[in-house]
Amino acid sequence: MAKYGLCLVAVGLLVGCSESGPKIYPVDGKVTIGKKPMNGGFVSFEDPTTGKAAQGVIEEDGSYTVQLPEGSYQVMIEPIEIEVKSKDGMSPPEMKYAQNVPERYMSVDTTDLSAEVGDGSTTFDFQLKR
Amino acid sequence: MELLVVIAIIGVLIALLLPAVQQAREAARRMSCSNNLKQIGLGLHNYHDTFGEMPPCSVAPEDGDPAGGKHGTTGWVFLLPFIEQSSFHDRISQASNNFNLNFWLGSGAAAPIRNAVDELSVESYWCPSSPLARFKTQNSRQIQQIDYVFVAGANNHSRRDRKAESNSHFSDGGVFRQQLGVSFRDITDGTSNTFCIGEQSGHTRSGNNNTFDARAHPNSGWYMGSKNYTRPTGADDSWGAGGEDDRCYNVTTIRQGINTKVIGGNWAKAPRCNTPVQSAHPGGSLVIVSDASVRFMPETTTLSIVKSLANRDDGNPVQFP
Repeated sequence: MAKYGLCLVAVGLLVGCSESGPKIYPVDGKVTIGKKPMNGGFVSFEDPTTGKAAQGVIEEDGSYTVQLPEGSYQVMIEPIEIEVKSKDGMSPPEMKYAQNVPERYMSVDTTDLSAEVGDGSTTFDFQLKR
Repeated sequence: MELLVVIAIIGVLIALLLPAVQQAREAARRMSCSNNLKQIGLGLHNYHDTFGEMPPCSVAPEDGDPAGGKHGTTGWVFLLPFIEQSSFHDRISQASNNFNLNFWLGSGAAAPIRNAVDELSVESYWCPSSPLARFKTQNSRQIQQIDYVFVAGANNHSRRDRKAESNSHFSDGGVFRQQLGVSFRDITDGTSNTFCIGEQSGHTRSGNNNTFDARAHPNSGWYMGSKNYTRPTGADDSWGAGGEDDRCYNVTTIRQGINTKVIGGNWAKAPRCNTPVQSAHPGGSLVIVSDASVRFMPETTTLSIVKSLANRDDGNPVQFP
């Protein structure tokens, strides 16, 4: 009888929750601007048709990591932002870019960086030209 | 021995029961949230019956105006008399000198408004499931932060600006427009095929995997709208072309899918224009349809369908999933 009881408990524990969904790939790489590694900022992946998107943080040595499902992405690079008080005090503080990155890398319409994320394809280095 | 068996069985039954109780609680909260949206939807229709149009998402005075160059107020304020909150509306109207003051509540000039709304809240602007902060402290006053957002359309509409603040996209193709009210006859895709208000009631995650509050009103709650009095024309940089402030407050343009929990880029961080429509409810988000019904939009809805449903006149009168 006790065995039955224990079995019931064991079954109850086993029938738990299992998480399922699309496979998520850990994507990493390095961002350089000119010849130097980019010192901080954000790298954003976006698939404009499905809306899948994620943002990674660029470390001081130019490396980044980001979690992404399989797909092909447009990649945007943005520098770190700093808060600046508005001059006339009439509106909330604005965010200004701390570093000079060419404007074309910041918009999904003009960026020429892209990435195909899938099996065996999870490292992407981006070299930005000034 | 039998006692052990009985205890084990009871243990199993309780293990089954506990999640069910939690789910029942969330179901009740979702129902309450849905009721809030229903009231807001009916309020919008009553507003339309009175003025012949929906309220604008925000109003900003033109540069020539005595109040020019300031942040105006939002549709949430204009909606108050239609959801049994006339006294709140009058209070803001009086404190702001009939909406002529700066609605950025951090400015010195906004002190009367700040004092008038301190610690006050409209219960139906909150979603009970939301884990996000209920108030924000501004100059030591408590300002209500809400869980719902106006939808200005989607970024694939022909009248949109893809170079608003930080390369975010601002649309003029939804039910809520800048400066102008939309009447039902302007919703040519059909009021039942267009949603106009969505939820922002859950946490999202930022690029470094921290939880993030991505609601569209980071500075002054639901009281403050845009500073910009223009609207996108279809050309890029048409919104705020004169070097004006083109940040989005209390309004969003659909760019990512419903219930997305990952910040896609700086364009999805408030006060940029593409803050995600997402909720704390599992599996999707509640939205107000322009016919004043409330629907649960599943997160599996294809992005192109979500966008068609957000645009009021793109010629794609798709049905809700």
